[in-house]
Amino acid sequence: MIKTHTLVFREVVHRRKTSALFSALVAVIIATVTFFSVNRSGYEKEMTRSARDIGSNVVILPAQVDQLSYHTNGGYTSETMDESVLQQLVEYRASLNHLIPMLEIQTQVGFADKQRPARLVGISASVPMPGRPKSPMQRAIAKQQVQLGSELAEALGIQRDDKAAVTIEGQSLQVARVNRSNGTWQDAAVLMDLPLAQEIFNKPNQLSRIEAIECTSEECARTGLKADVVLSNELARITDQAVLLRRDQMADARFSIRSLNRTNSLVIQNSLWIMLTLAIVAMTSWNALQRRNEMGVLQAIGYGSAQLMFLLVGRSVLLTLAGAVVGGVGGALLSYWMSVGAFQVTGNRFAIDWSQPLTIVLVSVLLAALAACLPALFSATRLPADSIGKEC
Amino acid sequence: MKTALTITNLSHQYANAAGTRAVLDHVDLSVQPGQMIGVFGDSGAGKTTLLLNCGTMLKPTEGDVEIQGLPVYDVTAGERAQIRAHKIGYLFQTLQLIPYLTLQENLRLPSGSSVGAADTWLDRVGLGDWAQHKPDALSHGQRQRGALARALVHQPELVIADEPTGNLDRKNGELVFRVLRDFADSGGAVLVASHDDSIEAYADRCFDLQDGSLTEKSRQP
Repeated sequence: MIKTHTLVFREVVHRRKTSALFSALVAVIIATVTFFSVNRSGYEKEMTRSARDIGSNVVILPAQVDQLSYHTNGGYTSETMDESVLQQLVEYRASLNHLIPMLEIQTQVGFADKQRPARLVGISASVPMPGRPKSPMQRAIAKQQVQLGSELAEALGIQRDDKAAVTIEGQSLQVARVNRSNGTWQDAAVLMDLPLAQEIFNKPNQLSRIEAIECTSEECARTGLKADVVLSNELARITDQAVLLRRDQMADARFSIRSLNRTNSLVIQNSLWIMLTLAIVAMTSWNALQRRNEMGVLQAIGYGSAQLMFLLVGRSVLLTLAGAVVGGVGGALLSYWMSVGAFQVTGNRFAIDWSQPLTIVLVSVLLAALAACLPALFSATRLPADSIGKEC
Repeated sequence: MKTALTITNLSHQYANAAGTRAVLDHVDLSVQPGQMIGVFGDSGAGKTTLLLNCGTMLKPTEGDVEIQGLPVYDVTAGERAQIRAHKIGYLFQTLQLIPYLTLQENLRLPSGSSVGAADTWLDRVGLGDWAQHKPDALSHGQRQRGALARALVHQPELVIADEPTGNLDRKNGELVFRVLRDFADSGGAVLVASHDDSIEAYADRCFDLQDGSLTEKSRQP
């Protein structure tokens, strides 16, 4: 007796044009789904990063700060708090992330024969919360180096690409870079390593503030609680050395971008899966219907339901697998090629998460197998004459 | 020895939007091993329906069909598939060779058939040189003989042939009936529906199917 898998291969080769068309259609569908799926994860990263780059939306200040004078001085205070506040927030796992400790001092910056007033900011790399790893929002500044705000650099006569050294409190510090203008006080600031700033200005273990991004917006949106109240209450339980300011507009904008992004992604993802399912089921069922007569003949010869199922499922799985692999790889590479250029912030670090195409391929093959099972079972339970057609 | 095929009180009706049409009306027939039975009838008389009923391919509206004493419509679909695989060889009027297989591979489809058996049967029907050809490369007559060989290759107990000589020339028609007669002589049972009068020279008994009833034809002296 001829082996059933031989029948599958023979049929595929004999009907090579329709087989190729089936695989090509699967490839196009899978490529489309994979393209959007891979692209979507890059898009989500880009949007998340863009939302993060709106900036910190929470500021933790020393408890003794007079908020009126803090705002009057353009968000500056000479009051400080102990660095242990940062450690307490981390240990408590507060509803915050990207904690950036800072020490701010009004000082003079000298270059050549010029002296200009500036806000010096001693800053450390952003600290992620344990269990919530994030790429750093703020990177550490090397010791003996500074970053200049664009306005300050211009006032000192330092160009973007100059190799210059500035003088602060008698110390010569190399200019690592001139930051782009962002239209805030940071354009007149000079950034340096936090421990060095604490040492130069004799403020050991002292911080002027901690900037952070809140993690409460979703919970608050769900429960109806006010985020600033939740965060302030939480901070009060952690320490009495600090108070919290929430930049509502920034926080709300970030939340809005992220939720819109998530909803949008969910709609696209679900639509793609529905499209994929319908296409695979329709194509497989169509093929099974086309072969109804052949199934009837094989039944007449004595083929049972398991063999008929193997024939239909085998063909469907074989052709779907071939199309899905081509479509999955093609869609992922096309998505990579387009995403690298399309995503301004994260494009250069865009990488294909191959588990996505792999999942799509496996699900497609599974769908193809399931979609072929039903017609095969249906064929197997009918009498051959019902499949072949009666000939009175 | 068990009766190869027994049909009792068999009736079949087709229903469609226009109404119900009775094709077979309380038909009785038995085919013994070693016997070849011919059924004549006009087109549309119900010969194919009778053969499909007997071949376990179409459930009759009423009545029983037994193959070697087993009521074939009272068993499961799987058991019926086993009966078709081992006990019945069926030659369709429309031949129904699988188009993507060679003639030899078509003959290897039935359970228990082998390359050797396929080649032997192809030789017996004069198609030894065409074993590696696909059906669309063969003439209608060659396909008809190939389909006959497929019905016989697994040595079934009962062969059912629907118009096995339709569109065949006299020589090939006689070859087909000779092969079926030889099969019956070797202990098999054969039920043939045909328009071809020459079957009377080979069949043990012949019946006319008219108005849903079978009437045995008297043999010419």
